[in-house]
Amino acid sequence: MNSIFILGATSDIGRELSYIYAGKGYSLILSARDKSDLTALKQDVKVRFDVDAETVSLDLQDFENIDDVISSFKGQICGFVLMAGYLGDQQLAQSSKDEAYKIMAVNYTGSCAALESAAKNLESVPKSFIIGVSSVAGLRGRQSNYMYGSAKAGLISYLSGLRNRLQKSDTTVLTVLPGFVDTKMTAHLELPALLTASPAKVAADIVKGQTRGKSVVYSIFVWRYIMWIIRCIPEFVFKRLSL
Amino acid sequence: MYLNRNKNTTSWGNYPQVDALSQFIEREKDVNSLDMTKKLIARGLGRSYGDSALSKSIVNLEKNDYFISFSNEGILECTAGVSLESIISVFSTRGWFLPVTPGTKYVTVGGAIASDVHGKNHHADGVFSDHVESFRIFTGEEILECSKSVNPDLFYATCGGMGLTGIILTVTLRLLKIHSSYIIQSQTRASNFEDLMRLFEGSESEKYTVAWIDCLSKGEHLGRGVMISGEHATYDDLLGTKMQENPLKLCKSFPAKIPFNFPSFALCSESVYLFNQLYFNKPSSELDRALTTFDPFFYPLDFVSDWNKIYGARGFVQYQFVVPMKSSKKAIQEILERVSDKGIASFLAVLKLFGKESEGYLSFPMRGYTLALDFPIMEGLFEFLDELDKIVLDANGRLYLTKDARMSADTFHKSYKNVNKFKSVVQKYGCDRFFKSLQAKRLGL
Repeated sequence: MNSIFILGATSDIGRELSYIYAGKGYSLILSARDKSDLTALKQDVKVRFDVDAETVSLDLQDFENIDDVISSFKGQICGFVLMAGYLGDQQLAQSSKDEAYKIMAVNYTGSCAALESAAKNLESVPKSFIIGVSSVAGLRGRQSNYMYGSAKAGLISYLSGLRNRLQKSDTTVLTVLPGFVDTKMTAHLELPALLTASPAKVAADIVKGQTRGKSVVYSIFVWRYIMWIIRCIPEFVFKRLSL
Repeated sequence: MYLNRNKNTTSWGNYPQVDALSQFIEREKDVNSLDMTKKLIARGLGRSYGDSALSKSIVNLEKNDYFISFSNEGILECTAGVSLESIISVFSTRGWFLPVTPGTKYVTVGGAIASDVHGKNHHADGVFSDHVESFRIFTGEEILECSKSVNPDLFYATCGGMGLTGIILTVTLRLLKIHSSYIIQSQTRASNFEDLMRLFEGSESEKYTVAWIDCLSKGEHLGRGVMISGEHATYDDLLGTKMQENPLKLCKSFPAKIPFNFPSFALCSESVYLFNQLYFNKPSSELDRALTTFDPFFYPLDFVSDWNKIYGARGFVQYQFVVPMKSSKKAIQEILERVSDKGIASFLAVLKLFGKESEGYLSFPMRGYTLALDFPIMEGLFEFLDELDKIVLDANGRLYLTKDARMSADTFHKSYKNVNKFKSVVQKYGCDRFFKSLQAKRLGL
């Protein structure tokens, strides 16, 4: 019972998390959509840390399959990280049902199904933890990415409810709210350097929050204050802004 | 794979700059979705100085950094975007080090092959590609395995070939066995250039040798400097010191990334002690032996990240040439005189005696002395460097393509004797239809 299931392991932050947990001596179950990407990461982790990782491909849009895949590791896992996300294209999502559905399925319904399965398998495991990575975009809907933002908002509420439910068990639930991160998901965007974190920094913040038993972690911390200000803007002003 | 439009893409010298579209390759399969309508050039961490990794269309491999396998005999297989820094941090604590390393660890293995980099041990161990068992390269049409026995012509064209033969995808190289992460270093003063040459020629049995030259000295002190030599410390060398408890401890001495990995100055006490001993005890004229760590010995300039920015927005060029043994003294003294007369102080002047010539068709090193000088870009500089080119050409020398941003096609063709061989290999494999850098255009490659 020393494995950590990382869903979205081949993302930039997921990869850094794999390194940190492998370095701490955990076994890893690496999960993502693409099997060959997982194999590359598995080999990489093996060379770097001499840790054998298992891989399992899983697509969060494949709703029926999620619980079976995660439950197959029951008894083996002591931690679960949901690190998968799909930024999508807001403009496209306004006209394409498929794009809108994909954004919501990956970031909300599929994510919740995975977390629900993780909770079921971990709630009786002592000192276990669940980490859900949402986004500061979920704290207030903006015209530039409200499809993504609303799905991430749903995930934030879901995680808060799950934390409440598991309060009496020995399972902690951590909500992670990254701001801008320099990853392949955002490579096409021009992000302000001072507000943009490296994937390694976000991963380090996540693990620090998890080991300290925190409920909510912003990465980088300054986003806590930025989002506080943004949420304070009255709606009659906010609706006129082009954010 | 994903795209990124970078305005003002530039390499280490901040000159030239180009508005480029970068396609990031993360995995081998991504080569299938590359947009190849414009000619491409592969790029790693962008530490070449001039325009060799620049083009309007760039393939960036820095995210293609995965280790694939490692055997206990020291054979490492990894993807081309793995940096030398990663290799050191993963393997030095297990007793393995880079067989050849340039003066910065922030280069990728793919870049190290394309530039066929050399280190302070060139006279003893040759160039980087001498330690490469094989690599796999995408030539624009297919992925080919290359080694000294499989597709050897493509292997030798690629080593030092500045990325013009395609995109290196994976590399298998032999690491060097070490017994400690410490270096025994000696420093010796030389009062002029002849003195330095004598020191070099008398220390060819040392593993690592390099010299720093004071460019401002004139007359009888022209070319005075300090020669630094070193070798890997064995366990016995550490006996009686606190280093013996953990001989392979890796002392990391500075933050790798800015701005958000805040300076966590992870200086371990050993490295501070050794660093102080080295840099605050001036070397006497006697041989001065001391223990040091990898970073100050191999990568003194990495200590200041972004040191290239001290040259300002216009950038700088590093002028590195090599001249054969018998013309070394005359040519280098003449160049040092010209530089000192011109009154442009080079912040950095590094001298090294190379071993035998490499087999890569465009590989830089040859038996003789190499000198590297930094010049900030200013009016009249290129004309001045053209004059230096003449001295180098007359001495049958050549310039290092990895540092070059301004050499003429004529100088290049006169100094690189295997250029036609190189061109015929590139044509044979069809790479020239897909790959071209700004440098290649300028040099008529």
